[in-house]
Amino acid sequence: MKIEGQHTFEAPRELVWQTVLDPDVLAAVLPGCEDFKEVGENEFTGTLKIKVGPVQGKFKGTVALTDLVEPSSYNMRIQGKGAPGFVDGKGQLRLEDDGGSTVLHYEVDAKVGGRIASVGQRLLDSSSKVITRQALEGLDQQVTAKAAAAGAGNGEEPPPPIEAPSQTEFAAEFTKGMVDELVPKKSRPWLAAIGLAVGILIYKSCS
Amino acid sequence: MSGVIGTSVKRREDAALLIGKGKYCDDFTLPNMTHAVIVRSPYGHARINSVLTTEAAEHPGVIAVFTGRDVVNSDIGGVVPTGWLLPGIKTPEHPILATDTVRYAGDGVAVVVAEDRYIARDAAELVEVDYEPLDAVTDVLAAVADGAPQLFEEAPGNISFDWDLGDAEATAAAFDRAAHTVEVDLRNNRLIPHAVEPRGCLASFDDTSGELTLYVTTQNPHLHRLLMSLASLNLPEHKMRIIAPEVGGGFGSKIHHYPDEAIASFCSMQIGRPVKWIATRSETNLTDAHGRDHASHAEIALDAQGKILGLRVKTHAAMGAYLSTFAPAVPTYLYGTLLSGQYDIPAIHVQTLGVFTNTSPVDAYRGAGRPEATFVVERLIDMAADATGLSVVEIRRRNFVSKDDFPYQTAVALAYDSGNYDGAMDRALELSGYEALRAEQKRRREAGDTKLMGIGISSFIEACGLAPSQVVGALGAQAGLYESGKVRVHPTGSVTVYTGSSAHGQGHETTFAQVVADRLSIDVDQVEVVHGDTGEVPFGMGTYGSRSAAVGGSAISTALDKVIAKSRKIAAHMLEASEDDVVFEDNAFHVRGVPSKSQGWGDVVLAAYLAHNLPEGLEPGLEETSFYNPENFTYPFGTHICVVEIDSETGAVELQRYVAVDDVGNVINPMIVDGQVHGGLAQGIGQALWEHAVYSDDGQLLSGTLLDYAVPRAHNLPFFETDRTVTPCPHNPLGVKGVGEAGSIASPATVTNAVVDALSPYGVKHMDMPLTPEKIWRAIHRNGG
Repeated sequence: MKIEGQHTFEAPRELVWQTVLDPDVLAAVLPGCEDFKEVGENEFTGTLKIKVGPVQGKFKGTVALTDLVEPSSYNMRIQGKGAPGFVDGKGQLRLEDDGGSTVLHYEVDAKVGGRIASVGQRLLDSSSKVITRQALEGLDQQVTAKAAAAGAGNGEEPPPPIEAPSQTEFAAEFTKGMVDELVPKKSRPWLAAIGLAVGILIYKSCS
Repeated sequence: MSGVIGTSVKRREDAALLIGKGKYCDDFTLPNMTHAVIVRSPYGHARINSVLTTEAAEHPGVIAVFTGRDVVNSDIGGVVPTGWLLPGIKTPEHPILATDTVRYAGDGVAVVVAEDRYIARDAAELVEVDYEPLDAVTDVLAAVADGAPQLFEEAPGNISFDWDLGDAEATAAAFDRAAHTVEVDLRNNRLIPHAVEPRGCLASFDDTSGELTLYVTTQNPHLHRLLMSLASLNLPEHKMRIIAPEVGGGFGSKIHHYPDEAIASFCSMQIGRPVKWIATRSETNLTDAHGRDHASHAEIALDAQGKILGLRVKTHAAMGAYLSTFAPAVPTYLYGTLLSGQYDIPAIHVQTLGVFTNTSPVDAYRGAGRPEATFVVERLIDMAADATGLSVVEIRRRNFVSKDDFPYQTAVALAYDSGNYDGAMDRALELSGYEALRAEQKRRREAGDTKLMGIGISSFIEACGLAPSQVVGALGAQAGLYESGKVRVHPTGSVTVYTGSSAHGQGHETTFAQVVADRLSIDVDQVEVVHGDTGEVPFGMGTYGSRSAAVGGSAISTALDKVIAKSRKIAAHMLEASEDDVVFEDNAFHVRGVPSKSQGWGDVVLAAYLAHNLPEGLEPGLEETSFYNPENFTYPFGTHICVVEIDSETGAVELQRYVAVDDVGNVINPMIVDGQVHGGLAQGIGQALWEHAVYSDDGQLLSGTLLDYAVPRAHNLPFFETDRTVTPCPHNPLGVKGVGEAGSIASPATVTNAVVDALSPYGVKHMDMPLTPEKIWRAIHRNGG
């Protein structure tokens, strides 16, 4: 499975770089993430609670960042396993200046196995896109807040408290992802409403 | 009642099943029973560094957790064997729980036993296995490529066996002098059996008596007992009782001895309590032996008149990660031997390589080798028709073995005993209105209809009624394939029949009762049929290979011969007549030529048990057993014709008509025979149009649910039009041949031939199954549609 894309932050590259290396921030913006902590230099462990279709459970995993080129890129190795199966991914994160803003490019190539692959594979792509998007949106808030604080000349002020997305938000995002992929733009509004309702139902029935 | 053979007696077993009172494996509960859940590998191929069970073992309600090491350190055999050996075959060990390497996603590594199955499932998630992933290979051709990941050191190149049959030189010579040759690379898609009832078992070991009672979803309880006694458990056979209660379908998948029943038995022996294990649906999909999965290169050579000179096939057959019970026989003796089809082919050569892949094992599935052979032959015949300019009907007719040429010795070992291939095809052509269909097709093509009409024909043969024991023994079977039948006549004249042919939906309780009722001129309700219990039935090889009527039914028939012979002795004594003058007719013994002198069946039976006045030297009682060993396979055949309509804009196929003319010999119960044909057709059509077990390259089963694996639904299928010709089997007492697999053998080729026919205006010569809209749409658009 390949996950790739990009996201533009309205902030200078150094600030984005600091943010994407901050374990507290990462722990907060990853949906379903628990006990995320730094256990060595650029090595983190944590637990990710995930739900993909009918498959749910906890992944225990490690994230190792290597080949850090400050403030522009690093490689990552993500390994997780648990009752729903396993994930083993390798990827790269890259930051580029774009005028005053910063473009974050990411790509991860992940092997996924076990129940999550044999039962949940149909929903895997959409789920991983949703997780990624929610994480990026969380990061964006963080970066924006930090940038605002820096702009006010008061770098000491803490960023706003962060909350991981709720289950309902996840369901809504998941449905949005499916709609984006499957439905032509003009028919989206009413379908999205129905889809949201269905998504919440599916989500509730899995929990 | 005499005359009851050939009538559609309603299935006596259905009442209980329809109101939910059938007792399946999971319906049995024993005192003090526990539940097992098997921890399975999520990897297609990995080394096991460690298995930590502490946390799972401490989980409240857990009784024990065992790993592969615990099995190795115990007294049991701990491996599941294969039951068919070929020359030079590599048979790497298949441990019931893996110890150092897992070879497919689903391979068992540990088992958790708990007070209930929910606790067991929760605790199974706490078993921590440290895997070191290895490269995997799941495609049968990729597995034999240079540099492919290797499954076993002792099987270099992942090859388990390299088998061939027929005369390679004569075949090469036939190709040298051919006017036309056609070749094709084709795949036979991998299938998941999908019995309605998932596999399961309930093992209860009594540590005072040393006896094991095992309820298990099996098609052949005695075979299970044999394999478990010899290999997986090492328990004495007489200390094991194996019970197959109601079994909810098998289609071959419940022939095999899986690790799971040995694991449950092992657990019961360890903890001294009964242990139940029932597979979940997704576990069944991952671990049931799959079917088919061949990659073949096939060629046919013809002379200028379209007469076949030779046929040459090289097949790579996936075996999966381990050799399952009958796996080596399926792509060899149940496949290569059928490559002559219904045709007179002077030279045939077939080579089959059995290949290990990181997938669930592959073994017999409804048809087992014969659908694969039929697909090869019937695709080649259609392609040869195209190459020679003959019609698909004419090319078949020119090459059929003639009705007068039986017995016919094929170039691939089998001797066909009887047949009338033109007869069945004529009937199918007539029933389908074939000429009118072709005229309609021509008209629609000329009119530029965007709905593409296709007509497919398949003339198939199978070898079933498995099997003559000496023959299969010489070919590598590690068991005989005879059957036992025991007829116990009770003092008041009713009968209990014990058969080793263990039903799981086929209707033995009705069909076999008809055989007995017919012979003894008693009511069907006076006959009870017992099967599926090694504690009651003397011995038996089970139900598969369309063998129950031909072999199991014949065993009952020969046991009835013995019963009638003994009772005639008693009747002659009572009638004070010579035994030779006494005939049994209409439920009574008569003295030939003296109509007034007769003794009713009931009186004779009672006399046998009273024993007040028996002929000198004759033992009391009336109970006889027969072990029937068939002298040949049986050879059902037929011609099927179907009509499809393809939407050229979407590629969707609609199966509009399906005509099946089968010759299965004499028919005991026409309704049950029709039912078997219908079921077989549904499965074969499923293979042709929808079903496909797909693995990712790294060993994940991607079609692991019914969302992703499309089994046919009733609304996908047309009203089947079935008919029969009757050419009785000449060598068994009932003249029956077998019908369980016919539909699934013929139909994949019938449907594929129809789809290719529909697409022929686009230059399509061949397509591999399943024939999904996407594939068809691409084929149309690749060729300028």
